[in-house]
Formats: sequence, structure tokens, C-alpha cells
Amino acid sequence: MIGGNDGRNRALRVDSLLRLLFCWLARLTHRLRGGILVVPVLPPVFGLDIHLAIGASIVSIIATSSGAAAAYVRDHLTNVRAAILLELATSTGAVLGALLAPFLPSRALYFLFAGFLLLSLGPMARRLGEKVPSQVRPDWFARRLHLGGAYPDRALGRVVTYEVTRVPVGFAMMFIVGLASALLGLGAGALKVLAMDWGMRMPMKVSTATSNFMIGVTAAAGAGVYFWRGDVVPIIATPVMLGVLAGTLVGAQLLLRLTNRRVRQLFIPTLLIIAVQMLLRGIAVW
Amino acid sequence: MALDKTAAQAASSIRPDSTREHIDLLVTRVLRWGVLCAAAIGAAGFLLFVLRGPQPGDPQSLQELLSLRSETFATTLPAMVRSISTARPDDVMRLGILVLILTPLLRVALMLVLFVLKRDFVFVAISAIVFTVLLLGLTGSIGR
Repeated sequence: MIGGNDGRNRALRVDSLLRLLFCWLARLTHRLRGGILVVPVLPPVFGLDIHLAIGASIVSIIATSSGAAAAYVRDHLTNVRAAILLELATSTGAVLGALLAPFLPSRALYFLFAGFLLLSLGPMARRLGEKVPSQVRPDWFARRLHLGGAYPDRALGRVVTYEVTRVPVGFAMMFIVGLASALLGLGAGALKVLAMDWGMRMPMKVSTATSNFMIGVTAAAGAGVYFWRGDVVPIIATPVMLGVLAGTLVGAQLLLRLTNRRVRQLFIPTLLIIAVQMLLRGIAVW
Repeated sequence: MALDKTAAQAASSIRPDSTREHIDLLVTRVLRWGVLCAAAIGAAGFLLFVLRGPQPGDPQSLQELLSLRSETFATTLPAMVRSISTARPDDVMRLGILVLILTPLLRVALMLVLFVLKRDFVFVAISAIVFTVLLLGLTGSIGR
């Protein structure tokens, strides 16, 4: 079955190529971790049903996280025990969120999305100054499950040992984050960090590394539901996946040269613009 | 340089344990191959699509794609297996995406193995539950 060369058909192919290019660029320039830019950008620019955009976005999250994980696994920062424990909360939340998604109208999703983005701005801005929390008393769960750990801090030039506390608080927060993540197609890295660093008083570096470790698994939990439901449309999701993967492979070199601070300075205004745009769409102004 | 050295020493003093190193390496390899596999299959399907264009039953134009409703393309594993042999671009791309979704599952499976080797049975149980939840989500046996 050779596809005809009529214009309608060509537009479709050009569109998918453009999408690949766009995702590659987005991943490259914005350190696109989760689907944070894919979801907002797909519906307005390409005018797609937000449910399908979320399906594509979840795929991009897995691509980002699995693509980057190969490098991060051996950093000795990730707290694997805490990660797997909290994945219990995020993956259950994610499956529920994915099941819930079809029952929510698009407009509600736009609103939730805007709120969620604004919510994650707080921890990102706070992260500009980072310190290791001291005098943390481990709670019963942390002692029982041996959640404390140690990591080599290059900036401080010593090994930092830390304790973990308020595990139920972190666990509950992670459940909500997992739910929202699958509902909206976001990696929700910033909020995962918040649950660990504010909720469980873990050091920022450990929280960030552990959050990266968890993002892929959380996204995969929701992705299966989207996949079989048919909300991961191949011609949309494949260019997104290929673009993101190419961006991860090519972008990794570039990122090493940018400082964290600079990346965040670029990123926070971008998120603000997107949040406002989604809000406007939610109230149907634009 | 000096700092690098301390950090490296610190790292080796924290985790002397070779099982963990071994699993780490395996995880890295599994993730890399999973991602490359997904990318290769996805790229093949995408190339097929760009060359051959949309097949009957797929959205034929941009308008159709944009007006696509959620749940139009619900699929099942048997249906996918049946259609693999015909190598429709959409189904090849779908397979690539499925491989990508499966990589984190493999990662959790490896963690499970790590905890079994360490005889840390509380965490064996925890990772087994995570694995089950993922499997339930991935097989689509819930919500159906």
C-alpha cells in the first residue's frame, strides 16, 4: 500500500518530522526532564486533544529518564532503598491517576496542569541555595528500614552522612505526586524532590538523584494504562520519543558545561510562561 | 584534582560491596540496550511511515489527527502480535514504544534480584509489590 502523495498526507508527515525536531531542540535547550514542555506545547501548537498529548508526554518522560539513567546510576548519590520504598507510593498513585484521566474533561486538566506547575516553582526557586540538613532524628520507619545513608560531596570535599525522618509524610506526598504525574503526563521531579527534601529532610543532592531514579518507574506505571487504552498514538509519540532520546544523547555533553544555577535561571521563567498560557486556555480566553 | 581524589576515595569507602557494583553495571547496560532497542524499532517504524504514508485505518490527514478522540486506538497484546507480521508502520512504532515502557520494569526486576542477593527480605517484599503494581499497569489487566 503505497501512500499517495497528495497534500493532506504530506502535511501529516511534515508534522511528525517537525515534532521530532522540536522535541530534540526542547530537550537540548531546556533540560526537559519530564514531559514538562511536551504536554503544554503539543496541544496549543499542534492543536491536539490533551489526553493524547499526555500519552505522548509520558512516553517522553520514560525516554528522558531511561536515557539519562545510564549515566546517573553510578553516582553514589541515589538512595536506592528510599527510592524503591517511595516507588510503592508513586506507582500506585500513577496507575490510579492513569485510570482516572479519561473521566476528567480537558479543561479540568488544563487547570490542574497550571496549578501543578506553579506549585513546583516554589521548590525550584528554593533550591537555588542548598544546604545539608543537620540534626535529623530518624523516625521508626527510617530506623526499621535503614533508610539513612552517606554520599561523597565534591563541593564540601568530605563524606556526608545523613538520616531520614517523617517517612509517612514523604510517602503520602509521593502518592499524590504519582497520581498527578500520571494524570498530567509530567515527571514531577521538583515535587518528588520536595517530598524527600522538605518532607523527609534528605539532603538536596540525594533527593534530586533519587527523584531522577524514580521518575522512569513512576511514568512506566501510568504509561501501560495509556498505551492499551490507545492514548499513545504512534505517529505522535514516536517522533517525541526519538527527538527526546536524540536530545539526551547529544545534549548530555552540552549540559556538563552549564551550571545548575544558570539552567534554573533559564527554566523558571519558561515554566511561568507555560503556566499562564495553560491557565488562559483553561478559562478559554486564548 | 585533590577534591576529585577525596570524592573517589569516599565513594569506594561507602560501598565496598561488589554485588551492588555488579548490579549497577547490569542496570546501566539493561537501560542502555532497552533504550537503544526502542529507538531502533521506533526509528524503523517512523521511517516506514515517512516513506509509505498513513495506512488505511490510520488518520489520513493532519485534520483527522488533530480531531482524534481519546481511546480511538485501544489495542490489546494479541491484536498487536497478530499485526506485527504485516509490518504496518503504526504497529512497528507501537512496538518500539512498548519496549521503551518495559525498560523501567526490568530495572525494578533487577533491584528485586539485588535485594534477594543481599537477603534483605523486607525490601524483597517491597520491590515485589512495586513490580506487581507495574505489571498490573503494563498488562492493562486493571481498568479493563
